[in-house]
Amino acid sequence: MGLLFFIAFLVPIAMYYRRMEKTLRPVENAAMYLFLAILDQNVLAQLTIVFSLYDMTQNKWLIWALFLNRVVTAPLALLIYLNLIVRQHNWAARLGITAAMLAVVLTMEYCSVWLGLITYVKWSAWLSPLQWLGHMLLPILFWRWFRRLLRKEALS
Amino acid sequence: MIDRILAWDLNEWYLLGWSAGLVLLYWMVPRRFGRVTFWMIWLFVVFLVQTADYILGVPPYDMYDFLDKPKWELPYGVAQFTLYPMIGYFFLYGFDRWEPKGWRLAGYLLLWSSASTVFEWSCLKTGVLKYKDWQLWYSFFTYLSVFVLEIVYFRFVKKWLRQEGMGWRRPEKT
Repeated sequence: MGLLFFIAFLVPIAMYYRRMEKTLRPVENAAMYLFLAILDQNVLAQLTIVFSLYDMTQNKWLIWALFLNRVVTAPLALLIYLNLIVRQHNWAARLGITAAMLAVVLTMEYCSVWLGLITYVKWSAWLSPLQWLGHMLLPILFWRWFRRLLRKEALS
Repeated sequence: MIDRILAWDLNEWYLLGWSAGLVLLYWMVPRRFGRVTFWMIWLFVVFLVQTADYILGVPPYDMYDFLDKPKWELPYGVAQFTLYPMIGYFFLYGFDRWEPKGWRLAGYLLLWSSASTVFEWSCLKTGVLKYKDWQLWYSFFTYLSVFVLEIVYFRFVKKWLRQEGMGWRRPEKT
C-alpha cells in the first residue's frame, strides 16, 4: 500500500520534470540531484540513527517506499523547485513557488507518517516545515558555488 | 568529545588511517580531472555508498554493522565522505589514463573488485565491519556492479561537459 502510494506520487513528479523546460544545464541537474539525495539521506540518518527523533519502519516492503520517497521523489521535487526558482527575478513569484513546493514535500512527509514509514519520537510536526525550508535553501547555495566552479573551469 | 576520540581503538584508526592515506595520495599524484569532474565523481560515489549502507546496514535488513556500536559513528561518517569517493576517483583515474577496452577492461574491473573485496576482508579482520546476514562474495559482485555503474556515469559526465564546451580533464595552464 505504502509503496504503491509513493509510486503514484513519483509518477506525476517525474513526468513534470521530464517535460519541463529546464533552467539548469544537464551537468548541474545531475550534480543537484545527487546533492539533494545525499542531503536527504544524511538528514534522515542523523534524525533517526543518531538523535532518535524519528523511527524508521521495520517493514521490509515499506522501507523501499521510504527509500523511493527520500532518495528519488523528494530530491526530484526539489530539483524541479530549483529549476523554477533560479529563473524567477520576482520575489513574489519566488515566494509563491517556495510555498507551493513546501506544501508538496510536507504532504509527502505527513503521508509517510500516516502510512507508518516514519514515526515521530521526539520530533514535532511543526519542525518539519523548518527542516524542509533548509532543504530548499541549502541546495541554492550549493548550486551557486557549483555554477561558479563551472564558469571558472569553462573560462580556463 | 575528546573522551570519545581517546576511546577509539584499532578499528576506528584503521578506517581513519586509510581515509587519510588516500586523501594524501590524491594530493600527491598529478591531477588528471578538472574540479567539476572531481566533484561529480565525489557526489556519485557518496550517493551510492550511503544509499547502500542506509538500506542494507540498518533495520529491517540490518545485514552488517560498522565499528563498535550498531549506531552511526564519526570515523565511519568521515570514511563515507573521503575513503570511498577516493577509491572511486582512483578507479576512474586509471580508467581514463589507460582506457582499457574488451578483455583488458574486464581484467581492470576484476582487479579493482578483487582489491576492494580484499580491503573489505581486512576491515572484517580489524573489526571495522561485522557481518550479520552478509557474505564476502556478495561484496565482490556489489563492487563489480558499482565500478560498471561508475564507468557508465563517467561517460555521461564527459558528454554533459562536452555540451558545455568543456573537457573533463584538468585544463592545461597557459
